[in-house]
Amino acid sequence: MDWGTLHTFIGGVNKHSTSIGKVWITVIFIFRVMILVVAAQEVWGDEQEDFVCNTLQPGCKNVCYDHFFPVSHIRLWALQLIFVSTPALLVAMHVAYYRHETARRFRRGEKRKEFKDLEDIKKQKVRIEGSLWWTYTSSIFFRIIFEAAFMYVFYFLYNGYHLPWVLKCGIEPCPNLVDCFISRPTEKTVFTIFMISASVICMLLNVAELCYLLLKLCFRRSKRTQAQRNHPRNSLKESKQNEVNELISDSGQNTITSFPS
Amino acid sequence: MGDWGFLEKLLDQVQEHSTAVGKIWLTVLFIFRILILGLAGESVWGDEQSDFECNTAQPGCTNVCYDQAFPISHIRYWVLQFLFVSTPTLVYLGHVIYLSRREERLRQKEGELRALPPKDPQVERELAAVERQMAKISVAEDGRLRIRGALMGTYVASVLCKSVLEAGFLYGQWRLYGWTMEPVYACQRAPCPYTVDCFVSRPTEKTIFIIFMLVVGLISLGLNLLELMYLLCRCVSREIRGGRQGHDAPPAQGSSSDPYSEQAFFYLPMGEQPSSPPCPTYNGLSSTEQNWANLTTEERLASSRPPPFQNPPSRKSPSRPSSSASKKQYV
Repeated sequence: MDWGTLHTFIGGVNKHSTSIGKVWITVIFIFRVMILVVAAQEVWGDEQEDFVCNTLQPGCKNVCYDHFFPVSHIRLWALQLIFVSTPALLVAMHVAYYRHETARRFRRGEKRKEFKDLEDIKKQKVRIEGSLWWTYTSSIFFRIIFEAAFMYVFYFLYNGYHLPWVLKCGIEPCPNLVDCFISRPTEKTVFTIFMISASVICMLLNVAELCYLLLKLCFRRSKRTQAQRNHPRNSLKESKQNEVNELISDSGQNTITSFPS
Repeated sequence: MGDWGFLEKLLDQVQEHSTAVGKIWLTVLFIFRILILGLAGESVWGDEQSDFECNTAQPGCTNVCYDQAFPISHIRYWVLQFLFVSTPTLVYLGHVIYLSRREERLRQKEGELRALPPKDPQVERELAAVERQMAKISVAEDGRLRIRGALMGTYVASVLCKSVLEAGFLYGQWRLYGWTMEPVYACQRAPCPYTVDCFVSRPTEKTIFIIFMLVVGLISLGLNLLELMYLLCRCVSREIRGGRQGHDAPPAQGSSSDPYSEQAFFYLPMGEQPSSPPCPTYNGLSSTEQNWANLTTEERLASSRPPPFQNPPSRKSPSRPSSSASKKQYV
């Protein structure tokens, strides 16, 4: 599995993320992708060959392995990482669309004052405001949903996060209840707990980022309403000032020594 | 090793913001750990379970005995050790990046504020606030952040955590496996019918690599402890130097004590007079005392000679002449 491509996509989104988003990307790549590739794949590498059942009945081992491991942990984690990274692509697409629109307007001659050339538009850091805020927030929301869903699927499929060292299997064609032994159950349990902890940390980071974005929005709205409340007073001041200026310009002789407050 | 690429890139960035000992530690980490893990991982430990043989035909006995003998493989244990020991360094890198961005934004804001008309008191207040915040972030001549203040705190904490984690992992390895690989493991666990002998694959080669990684771990721990002592000595010597200067330097106006001390001090704008007295230092005074001292100086100067400039001084409070010039003082 080539994780480099995913790294390239997500790295592009990194520039437009919040600080918490950048920490999340680092945790994903170091604590999950790297551990998956470097360590976990080798632990699960021989899971079917070294899955041994106490029977000579042909086919019994196969059906028992299939019953207890419908999807291997490794593949489930890889799927989880792909699903969790995909909403970030929505943000990347939105930014690309925004840049494309800006470049189109620039070519028509509309935004000449703001940007010097097309390169300037590409280099500009897009702020998380307006419609991009909604895209970004919904991407975080989906990330949280996917993480929680996969953690639940894990728990449901394997009856918890602990792998037992012996499994009892009595499915056809096994003649009776046979003992089947998993390869490296303790090591697999250690890595399962590690990956679940990393998922929990990622989920908490996403929740923190969501709260941060919502707070930023509320703060910005309250600043705007405060500015609007101040503005009517200013315009009143300005209109009074205008009257006084008219008086001064109309009657040049009659000077006014102090301005009304 | 392509799989470690992302982590390597991040740790490379920390290189420029570390002390000399920190740089050696990072090099030891890269060369002796990552490379050796890559070399030994597949070739020496690759067949550890397939060639783990037990003296029994009982199905499942080999599996359970292997699981009991090796709850976690050495290679994976070293990968986790490496990851956990690098994590405090990554946290420090995060702090460095945060401070660099903040310094950039503050410098931009300062530039914008200076472009505005200077007589506005609110602009002056904001400018003073920005300069106060910039004073906390120390930048060297080549634009790199100096390890001072809060950054020093994070650096020391990261070195401390690294030492604790390194020692913890070494102790954990000693408790789990010891420092040698025994060729025979006696196993008594269901479904094995009795105590069976199980034979480990390549015990001598594995022992050599275990001892090698132990030595690298001890060197790494030693470097961390050395760095802690170095930072402690540096802090103590700076405190002694700072205390001595604060004691000796005159607290008030007009004297020509060395202005280029390491501590922060402020310029009092003296107009274009080439013969104006050298800039006084106000080490260790509170801001109120400093303001009174400034006012007294101005009054004294105003009374001693007529003001040479047409316009009254725009600022009474002390200020940095320019961000880049003042940064040169922090040498």
